[in-house]
Amino acid sequence: MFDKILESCQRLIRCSDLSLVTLDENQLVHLEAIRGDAAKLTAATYKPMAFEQTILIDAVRLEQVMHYPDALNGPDVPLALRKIAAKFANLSSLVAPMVWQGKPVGGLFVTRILDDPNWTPFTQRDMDLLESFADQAIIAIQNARLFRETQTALARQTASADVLQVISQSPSDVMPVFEAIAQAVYKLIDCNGAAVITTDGTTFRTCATMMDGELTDIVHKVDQVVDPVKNVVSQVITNKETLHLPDMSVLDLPEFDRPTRDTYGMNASLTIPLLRGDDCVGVLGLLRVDKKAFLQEEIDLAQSFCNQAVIAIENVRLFNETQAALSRQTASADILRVISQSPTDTKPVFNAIVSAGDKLMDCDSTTILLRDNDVFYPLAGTGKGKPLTRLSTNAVKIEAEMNYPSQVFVTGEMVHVRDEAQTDLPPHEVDTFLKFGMKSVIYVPMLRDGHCIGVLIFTRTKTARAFTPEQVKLAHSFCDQAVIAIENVRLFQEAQDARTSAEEANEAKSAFLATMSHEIRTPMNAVIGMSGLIMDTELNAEQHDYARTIRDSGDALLGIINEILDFSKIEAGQMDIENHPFDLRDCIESALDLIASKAAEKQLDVAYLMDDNVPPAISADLTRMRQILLNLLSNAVKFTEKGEVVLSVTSSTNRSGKASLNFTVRDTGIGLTAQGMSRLFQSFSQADSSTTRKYGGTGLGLAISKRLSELMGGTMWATSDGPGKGSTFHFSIDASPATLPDTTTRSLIGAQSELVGKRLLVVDDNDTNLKILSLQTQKWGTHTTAFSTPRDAIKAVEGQDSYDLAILDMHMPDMDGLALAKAIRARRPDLPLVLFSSLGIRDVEAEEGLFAAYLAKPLRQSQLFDTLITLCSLAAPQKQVSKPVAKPKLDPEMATRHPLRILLAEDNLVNQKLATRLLEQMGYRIDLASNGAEALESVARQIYDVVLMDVQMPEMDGLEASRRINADYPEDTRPKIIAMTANAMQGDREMCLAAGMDDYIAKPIRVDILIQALLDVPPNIKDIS
Amino acid sequence: MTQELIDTAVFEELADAMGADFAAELVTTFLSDAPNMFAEMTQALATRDADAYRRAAHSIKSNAQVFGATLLADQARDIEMATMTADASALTALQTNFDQTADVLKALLDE
Repeated sequence: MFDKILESCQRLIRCSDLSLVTLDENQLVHLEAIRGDAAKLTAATYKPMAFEQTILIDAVRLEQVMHYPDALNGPDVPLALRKIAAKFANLSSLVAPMVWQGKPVGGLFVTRILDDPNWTPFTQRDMDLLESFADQAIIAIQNARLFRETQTALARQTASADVLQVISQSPSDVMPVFEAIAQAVYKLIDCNGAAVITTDGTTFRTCATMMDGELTDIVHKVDQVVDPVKNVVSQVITNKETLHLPDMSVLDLPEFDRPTRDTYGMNASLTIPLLRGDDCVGVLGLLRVDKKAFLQEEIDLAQSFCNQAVIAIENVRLFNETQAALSRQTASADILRVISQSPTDTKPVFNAIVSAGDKLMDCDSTTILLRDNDVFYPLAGTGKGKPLTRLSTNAVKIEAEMNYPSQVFVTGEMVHVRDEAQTDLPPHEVDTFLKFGMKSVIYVPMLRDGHCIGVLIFTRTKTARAFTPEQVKLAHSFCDQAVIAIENVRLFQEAQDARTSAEEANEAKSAFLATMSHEIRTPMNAVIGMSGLIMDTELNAEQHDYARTIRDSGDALLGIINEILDFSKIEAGQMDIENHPFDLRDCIESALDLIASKAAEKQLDVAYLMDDNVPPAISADLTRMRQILLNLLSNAVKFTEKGEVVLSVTSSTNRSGKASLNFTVRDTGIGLTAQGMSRLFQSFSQADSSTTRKYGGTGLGLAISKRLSELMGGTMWATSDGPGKGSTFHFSIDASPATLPDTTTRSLIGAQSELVGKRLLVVDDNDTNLKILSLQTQKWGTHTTAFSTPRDAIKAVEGQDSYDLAILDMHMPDMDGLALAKAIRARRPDLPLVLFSSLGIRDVEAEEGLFAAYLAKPLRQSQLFDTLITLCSLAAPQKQVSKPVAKPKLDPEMATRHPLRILLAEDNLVNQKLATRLLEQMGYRIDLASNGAEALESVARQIYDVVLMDVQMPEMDGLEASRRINADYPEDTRPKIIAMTANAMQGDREMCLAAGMDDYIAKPIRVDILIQALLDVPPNIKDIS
Repeated sequence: MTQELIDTAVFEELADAMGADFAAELVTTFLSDAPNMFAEMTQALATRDADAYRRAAHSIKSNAQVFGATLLADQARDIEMATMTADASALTALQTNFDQTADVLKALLDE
């Protein structure tokens, strides 16, 4: 711009040289533009100088264009002009001042060489022209200044806006803001370096620096301690006042600041504190190479950037505090979640706490110590930001004066080491602090009921920085959480232990019950056996009654004990359910057999009905199923005074392909109230207490049965139409249909060739029995005619119908089976008659040959089948039915038919049990002697029909005992002696017989030989009578 | 392959005739009583009580026969028949056989 002015000036005013200068506020003259012969040289060497020393002096003072026609010789020529003329050549010159609003702002001057004939002296016109050019220059200068000021204001506003934008975009981090400020400062204020520094009052940290137009690496990377003596920044931080050093070259700078001047060549500095209220939070530093004071305007601008920096710092602080509060809450929630998720183990909780501790406490490691009586040991910790997996296992003794953790353990008070360098450490900590480089540490107690159970340690190793009250509060909350976790685990463990011990106690109780029951059963066997034996002796009626009471009570007690044993087994979870294939009918019929006599005593009709689709053989627990059946059946008999007990079995296939068998036992007994029904299946409970008084029983039977059916995959329930209206018990079990390995069981299902078309007459007053008989026989293909009264039956026989077979019930109101049989026999002498009756009726039978067969109640289908087949085959002898060869079975009635008083002399437990069992199964009760001497004692005390004598026995062997018996008792009164020995060698038998024994059985015992040997012994006749 | 310690036919016949429960009870009785018999034998050997030695062997034989423990029975019978010497090797062998037989019996119970 100035060049343009000079150029047009030169065109109008011919001259050798011309130049334009400006004057600054300090009255220094600056060369702005120059043209002409000396232009290059002058521009290169020109230095700003005071206007008094320049040729402007008079022009400015007089505010008019000066004309110096002869620089060397003319009067009043300014010294500077005279020097130029002397140096180059004599010249004439015009000097025009530039004055703006009464203030000189510069000047314009032109020269002509005097001695050159080309140049003529300046004219008035030239002076006027120059003056107008000066005015133009002023306008140009003002324009330029205005433009520049506008530009600067715009740039500053832009910079402020930029900084504010950075502030808003960087809510969590001050660094971008500081960098933006450093850049703006550098750009807008004439300087060679700018830096933003923050401080917490004790240390300061350089955050951003600008040098040579760009952001540079931070020279002092570590935090510096604030010390006013040591550096300028610290002075400003401490004094909280701006420090302006326009010329550092003359100052005796502290060592810290010397490189700024000596290495980087900075000679002026401006350092402004960043003040938040009364706190100094940092400084803004500006540096200049030139020894030039910063203008007030620049200082103000810098100050405005400082304010922005403070806003940014505040902003970030508030944001971070909010964030910190949030993350503390999150951490708390996280830790609480970990606590709830690990009820058995504190470890995950502690790891969560130490990890959160590092982050939220702004520390470098976190450690948890736990107390164990008078020592403590580390439980969890972090190192390098990760939970430590290996911790020292060494326990440290608690000694308050030796180390900080101990002190906390003893006092329960927090210890805060703000700066290890300024702390007198306890003996142990000196090493510890050195070893781990600990600078600032807090030890916070974990308090439970006022006792310190642990210590949480937060450590800073990088710099010594005290923990803020906020952080201390947070540390305490971590401690609370740790205590909660420990308590949680302890309580959980206690609950667990309590449960375990309760379970153990329950199991022990059950085991005890089982053992006790077993221990009681053993002597009970003796009570029952001995009372049985007493009854076998000669007793008067009263004694016999007593003995029977003892035996019956024993039986009852044994039953109770067995129930308790079962129950405790179930309770203890020791009831094993077996799974074997068996014949379902056999199982049902054997259960019915056992209640038959009781039912017969009460003249109850007992029947069972089985659906055709029920599998004949199933895989299940035979014993347990029979136990349930027996329980329900005997209950039914027990609680029914008259009427009937009917068992029916149906089957359905369940989803898993197994058969679900449903059993129903219906009676016509006392029935159940709704209340009674609810108590029914509870252990030790019957329908009501009056039931217990009247009918006895433990109340365990149904509870056991229900459990057993549940163990077999089913359930049990009862229905009743109310008191007096009978009850029905249902139970189900799951069972797989099975095929029996021994296929001797016949198919009772479907039409049977031998029976198809046979005409059957059935007479029974009981509808159920009549129905069962009719249904069952018709399934086999017979034509069955059923009559519920003898009168109708007789009429039918008298009629034209000819029957192949008649089945007559024994117990009928008007005419019993015997009378009816006689009536029919009179009319149809050839018709085979079958009597259907309760057990024992056979003995009462009067006339031989009246009945072709007997059917016992409850009706067994296999028995009915056999009977019908046999009788129909007899009638049609061409069809021979091969009967399956039955295995030799132990006959429980043998003792009844062939009563014997037996002594077993046997020392060996296994053989004792085996023999006892075999004999019991034949219905015998036996006495035991465990050697020859005991056998002699027993024989002396008691009359025996037979002694089963082991040969090899301690004390006195069988041979010697036999010889003594023979010697002591006459041949006809002494018991028979049967040797039982495992010798089984030639000569053994002879040896035994020679010793006076009567028979000889080799061991192991064979059932048939035993039976034969017993049958060879004459029975105890008195018992039969 | 060693000879079968238990003749399963015999054992099954026992279980069949007497009931599995009772057979199990018998086995349990035998297993708990047998150590007494072995103790008797050991003591008899030490005190040169030939009768007691033979009687205990006899008991073991007799019980072994019940369960079909043929080998054990044979071994026990051999001891029963032989003249007692101070040599304990036969007793040791019998004990070893018993231990193995006991394992088989226990396994049968668990089936």
